[in-house]
Amino acid sequence: MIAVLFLPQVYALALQVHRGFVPFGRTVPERVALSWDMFATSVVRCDVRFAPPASMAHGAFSSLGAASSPVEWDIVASSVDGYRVVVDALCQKAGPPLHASLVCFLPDGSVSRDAIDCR
Amino acid sequence: MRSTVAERFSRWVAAETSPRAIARFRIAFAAIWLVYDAIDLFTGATAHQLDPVDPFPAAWALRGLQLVLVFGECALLLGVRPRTAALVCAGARAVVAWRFFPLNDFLYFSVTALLLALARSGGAMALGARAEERVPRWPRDLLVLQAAWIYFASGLLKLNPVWLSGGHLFVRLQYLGAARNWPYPHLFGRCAASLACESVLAWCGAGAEVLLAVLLAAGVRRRFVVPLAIGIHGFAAAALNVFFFGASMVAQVALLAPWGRGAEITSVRRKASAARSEA
Repeated sequence: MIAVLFLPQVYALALQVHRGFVPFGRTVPERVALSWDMFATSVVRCDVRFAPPASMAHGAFSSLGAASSPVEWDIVASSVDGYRVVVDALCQKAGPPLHASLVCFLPDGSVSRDAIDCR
Repeated sequence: MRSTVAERFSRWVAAETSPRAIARFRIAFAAIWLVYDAIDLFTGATAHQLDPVDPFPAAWALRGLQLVLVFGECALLLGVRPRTAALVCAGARAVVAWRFFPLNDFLYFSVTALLLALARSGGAMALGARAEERVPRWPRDLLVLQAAWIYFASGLLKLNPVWLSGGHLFVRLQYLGAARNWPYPHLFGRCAASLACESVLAWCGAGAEVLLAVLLAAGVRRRFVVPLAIGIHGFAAAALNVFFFGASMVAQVALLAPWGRGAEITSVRRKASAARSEA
């Protein structure tokens, strides 16, 4: 029973090594279930704002941050393209005029800015 | 040599303890995740994360699983068939992780609930409790070792260029400040804008996790490991908006790590001597 619980966790960490992770090396870990890679993977986050407020699943909001719960649950995507997909879907749902601005924070310490006008 | 290892293993499996520590952790664990699931069930937060644009198509299935979790956690909290409740909760959460949201936090919940399903803790601090019973100690030791492994793996995997450069913290801190108006103190806000400062924090975080893993695995006393756990997860809550997983880990360390070497034997002797003097 102990082996059933712990061997998958050892295997998950071994899988990270198999995929190229070595401590202080160049490879950044990927998401692997049970490897306990919390905060160890590469992330991108964008502050997405809408004008006028966009109609979403649970109301109309002026930003993705405002549409998220106050703590813990954040509406996020795993890449800048992922955020664009959300904005495109909102454009299709709401239609023009909807203006979205994206301020994206990247792990190299840079900030990218973009704007999308629904047509 | 082999017989010595086998003997030690047999002694470890046969060792007994008071059920109170595991019962307290069971109650804390259930309470923390009950709050999480109740909020999620009523606000639909996870469903909104999965599809912020349109109503989530499988919301009924997700809500059904959340209901199972809420009922299971209530039973776990009250000590009503706690081992069955832990098993049901472990399964329901694993399905949520597998089918909807592959979060390591959810897998942590499932593994911990499975370990609780192996532990006898229903007799203490439960409905109709008998506080003086003795239960096997190994599930408690496994829960501490599980926490040690999580800190070890998590700290080890953070020894990568993105985390150590401060880039990961930069993304999360800047995002929370910009998108959620997170109330960072002025001085910390300045640190959050500097990769060099975030890099220092990142090195401290990875080092603290590996150190905590070693201390837990070595059976170091609670007064040394608890401040470290509170420091790690207090930072994650205040600066990174991660509350429930951290609270659960702090409870696991604070309620299950040993008070000190021989502390339990001393308390048993004290009780025996008190019983003799009463007689």
